[in-house]
Amino acid sequence: MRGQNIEPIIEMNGVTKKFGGILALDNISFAMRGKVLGLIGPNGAGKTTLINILLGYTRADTGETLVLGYNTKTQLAEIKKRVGVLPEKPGFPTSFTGKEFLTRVARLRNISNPKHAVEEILGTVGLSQAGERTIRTYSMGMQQRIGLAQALIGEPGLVILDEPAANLDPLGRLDMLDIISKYSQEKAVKFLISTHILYDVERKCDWISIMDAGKILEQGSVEQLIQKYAGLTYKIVVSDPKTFASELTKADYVISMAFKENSIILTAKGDVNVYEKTMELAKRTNVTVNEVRPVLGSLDEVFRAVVKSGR
Amino acid sequence: MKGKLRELMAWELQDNWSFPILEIVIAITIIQVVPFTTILINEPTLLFNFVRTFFESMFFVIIISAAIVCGKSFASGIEERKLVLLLSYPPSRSKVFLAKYLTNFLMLFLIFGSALLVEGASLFLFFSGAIQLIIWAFMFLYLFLAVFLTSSLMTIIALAVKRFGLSVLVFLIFMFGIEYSIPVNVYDPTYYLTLKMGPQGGVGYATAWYAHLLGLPSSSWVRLECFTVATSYLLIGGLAFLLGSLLIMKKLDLD
Repeated sequence: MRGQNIEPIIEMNGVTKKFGGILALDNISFAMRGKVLGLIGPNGAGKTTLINILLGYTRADTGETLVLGYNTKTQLAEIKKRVGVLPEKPGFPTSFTGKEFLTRVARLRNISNPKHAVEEILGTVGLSQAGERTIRTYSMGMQQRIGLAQALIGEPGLVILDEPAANLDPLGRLDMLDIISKYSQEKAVKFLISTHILYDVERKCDWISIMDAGKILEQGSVEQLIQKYAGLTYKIVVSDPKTFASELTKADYVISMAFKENSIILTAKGDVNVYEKTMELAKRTNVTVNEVRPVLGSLDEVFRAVVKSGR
Repeated sequence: MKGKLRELMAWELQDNWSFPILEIVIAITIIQVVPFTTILINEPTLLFNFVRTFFESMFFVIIISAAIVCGKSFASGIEERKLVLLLSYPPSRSKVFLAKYLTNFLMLFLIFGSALLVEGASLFLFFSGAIQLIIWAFMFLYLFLAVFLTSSLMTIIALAVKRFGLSVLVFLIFMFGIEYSIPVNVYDPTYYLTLKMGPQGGVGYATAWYAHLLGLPSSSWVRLECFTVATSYLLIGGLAFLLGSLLIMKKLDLD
């Protein structure tokens, strides 16, 4: 597997977290390696709980967590010195101006020349003109940009972004992806991104972990995952897709199925001959098969297949 | 003061004490306290009436202000996810807690202390002497303890409840419940478990004791056990709630 010889950025061993009777993380053991890491999963999968444990916001009931090689229970101070964070829905001090806020953050981070660092990061996130305005006058997109700025200031070793594209317009989202590329390539800053936007993950992340129901279901590079799951994804074009699909849903070899225009996109279990099965089913349902062919998978399909197989 | 703590306190001051919190607290203090000064001047037993009227008018302001300020700082901080952001920076939880607590406590004491300073100065315009000065000093001490107790109690409730509205409600029910449910009896020590009477009892007994030391004629309706209950409630209660708050802050789950 690519990158296995590199030190993991994040490592969890037997981590469990319960909130009352709800199991948020279920005995998780995994390691993430790479420059830009993506954490994806449906709502309630446990992504935010996982990030909260990495940052010491929440303590795990059992297990050990290492961030950049430091233990979250005993070396949290070392982690916080090296990690910049944009939490989900952060509460900014709205009475501060953008510059005041970043200057205070720079001082808390012991950055040697706060003024210069603030000017530079404001320029990077496109807020140079708004630096003197109070944060309460910022639009949601601008608040997200200032959030990104406070996470990146001082170029920490690792930046954790929880839903960074939230509230950003398409242009803002592209800007954010460019900033991530720039910092990871030119400044050796590593990123962990938790997001629902799979397209962003596919474009920028070199390592992906897929979560659901408090477990890591699959992980690896985008190419590895697509290779692993793409071979199982087929495009099927038939004369009566509706009848055919209703029969397909009953088949035990189907992991997931979706309609795309007039075709059916099917992800099947690995040990099944989809061509034979399709012909058998077509014969049974009196449907004519026009096309059956494997399709090059996207992360969307990988995600769907992984989550479905994990349930 | 260490650099990080000072920086965090400046952060708290600018964020939590921004308009209109400071203005509201000052306005309520002036409205509540200043009118009593003019009434006092013609009172025959001026000195103790000064103590009585000051604390009886101030206890309400202290409770309301501590509820708003500490509730906004801690409970709203959690609700609005400001604490999540602040705790992502290098300073430890203890330091963040200490900075927030100290800022709120010192600011409240500064505002109420200013009111006492103004009122006390008016007292000195008409009467002077060692005993007046010491009453004034003891009043500062017990004002300090009253603010300490209320700040610490509201902080622990805010951290435990994590919701601004609910924490303020719990705190007000507790404080006013005590204030109005304990029967009025100046010889009963439990009467001094109130914010209205505790500081009065403390100042009254301490002043009488000091006058006795100076060989001046002195008498006080406050018995030693009442003084002990009042002082212990304010000091030990404040300390216990403060340490409890720190413990909760260190264990707090920010989900």
